[in-house]
Amino acid sequence: MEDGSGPDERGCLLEAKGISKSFGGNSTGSPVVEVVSGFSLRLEPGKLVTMFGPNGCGKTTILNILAGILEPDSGEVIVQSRDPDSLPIGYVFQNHADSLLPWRTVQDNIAFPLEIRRLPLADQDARVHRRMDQFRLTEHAGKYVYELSGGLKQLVAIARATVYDPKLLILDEPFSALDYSLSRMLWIRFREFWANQNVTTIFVSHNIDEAVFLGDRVIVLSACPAKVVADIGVPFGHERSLALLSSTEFFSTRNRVLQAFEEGRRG
Amino acid sequence: MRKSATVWLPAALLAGWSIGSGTKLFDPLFLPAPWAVAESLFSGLWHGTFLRDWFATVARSLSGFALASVVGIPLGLLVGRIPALSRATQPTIDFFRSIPATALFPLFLFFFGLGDAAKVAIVIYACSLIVLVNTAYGALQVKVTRILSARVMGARQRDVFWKIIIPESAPGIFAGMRIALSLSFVLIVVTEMFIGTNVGLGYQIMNAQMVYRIPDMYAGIALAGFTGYLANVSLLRIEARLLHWVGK
Repeated sequence: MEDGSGPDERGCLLEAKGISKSFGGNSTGSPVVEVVSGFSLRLEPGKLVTMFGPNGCGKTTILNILAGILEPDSGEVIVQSRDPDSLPIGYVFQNHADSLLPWRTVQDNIAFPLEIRRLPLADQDARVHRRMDQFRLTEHAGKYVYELSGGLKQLVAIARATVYDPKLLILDEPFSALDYSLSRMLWIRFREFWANQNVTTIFVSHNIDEAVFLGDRVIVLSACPAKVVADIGVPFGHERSLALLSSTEFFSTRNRVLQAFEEGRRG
Repeated sequence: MRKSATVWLPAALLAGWSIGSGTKLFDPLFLPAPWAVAESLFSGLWHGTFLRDWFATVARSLSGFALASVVGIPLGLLVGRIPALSRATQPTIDFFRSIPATALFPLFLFFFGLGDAAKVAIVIYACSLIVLVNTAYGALQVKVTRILSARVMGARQRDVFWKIIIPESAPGIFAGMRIALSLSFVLIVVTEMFIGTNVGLGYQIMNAQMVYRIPDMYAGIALAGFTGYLANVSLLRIEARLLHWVGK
């Protein structure tokens, strides 16, 4: 499963064991639909894991369970941290329009998590400016979120989710609403930021290029109910440029992922 | 362009009124000429009691409006955010909301006597229900994702309330306050007509009517109209500034 070194030596930040979740039934009157079935995952610190699978099933539910927003019906999420209740998580929701604060400027949106941590103002300022700098948002600092394009909004959401240095970063198809060339630009920005930060990350995508380009590991999920079909290591280094997208190594990894995806769809 | 569009209708109304009065189409006993009303208005403001009346009416309405907001906003937030409370109170709220406040005059007189307390209490009663209902509606619109994302970031209940729920309910709160502000003014003028007082625009209008000083009566009515208009415009300005983000 893992290349060479055993998972125990490498440590593990978070482990999901046999998670299942169904919706509907009982009081709702709708039929019971199992959306996640026996999902397991070990997350080593400092890795970027992408999850790739068919649309409309289970992925967001898995993220919500990992983030502790949802309780699984069975299985468990084990947090390997000194204080498991306070594993700080950064979560970038798929729909930025519903998670950013439209009444605040870019700068104040990014400051929000620091504000609720009651950080001294000078610290808040320094951290916010660093993030804005990293994501090249400084020139938009005083703008309101609604004045920005979709891509920039999503960068604001990522800057906000990382400004308090979470131990785990979760991104739910952050670039899915953007066109291909803009997405590619954001992959570069994000990977650049990530290479610097090295925060353990789960990145859900339904774009195979995105999943392979960004990930250190691609988890391929099946159609409904979501379960792990394949766990494929990505052999590219830390630094990645767009030239990678047309390389043969990229295609061979992409093909392996695609093959697993097709198998998963057939069930 | 837009400025001239807003002036056009009042100008037409005024012109029609002037023509009707100039050609003696309108009986001055029922509708005096606009210049006669204007003259009454200015002499009333300069030499008469208009300013004093205006202040009394505005003070009563604003205190009623402010207290109604203080009561209505927190209750509206509670009702809007707690579904069980909303279900439990909705029929009662709808019942009382449907009763014209003016029909309850005797009840308020009985409890609060003939003074300003009864007038302000009527305003609080009617306006707080309006603020409550609109605030609750606003609080209901708060996006679940917004609260969830704040929680994940580590926001406590208190932060979620002040930094997410309050701002996001603000459009509803403002809608309620805007209706309540004009209603409070109308209600105070009406109560001044019927509940014992010797100062206020309502008293002045009623008094002028009883002694057939019809231009004075219309001057009082015009003053009430201008005041309501200005109040609404100011609140809209504040709203446009604070709620610039709504719907974007």
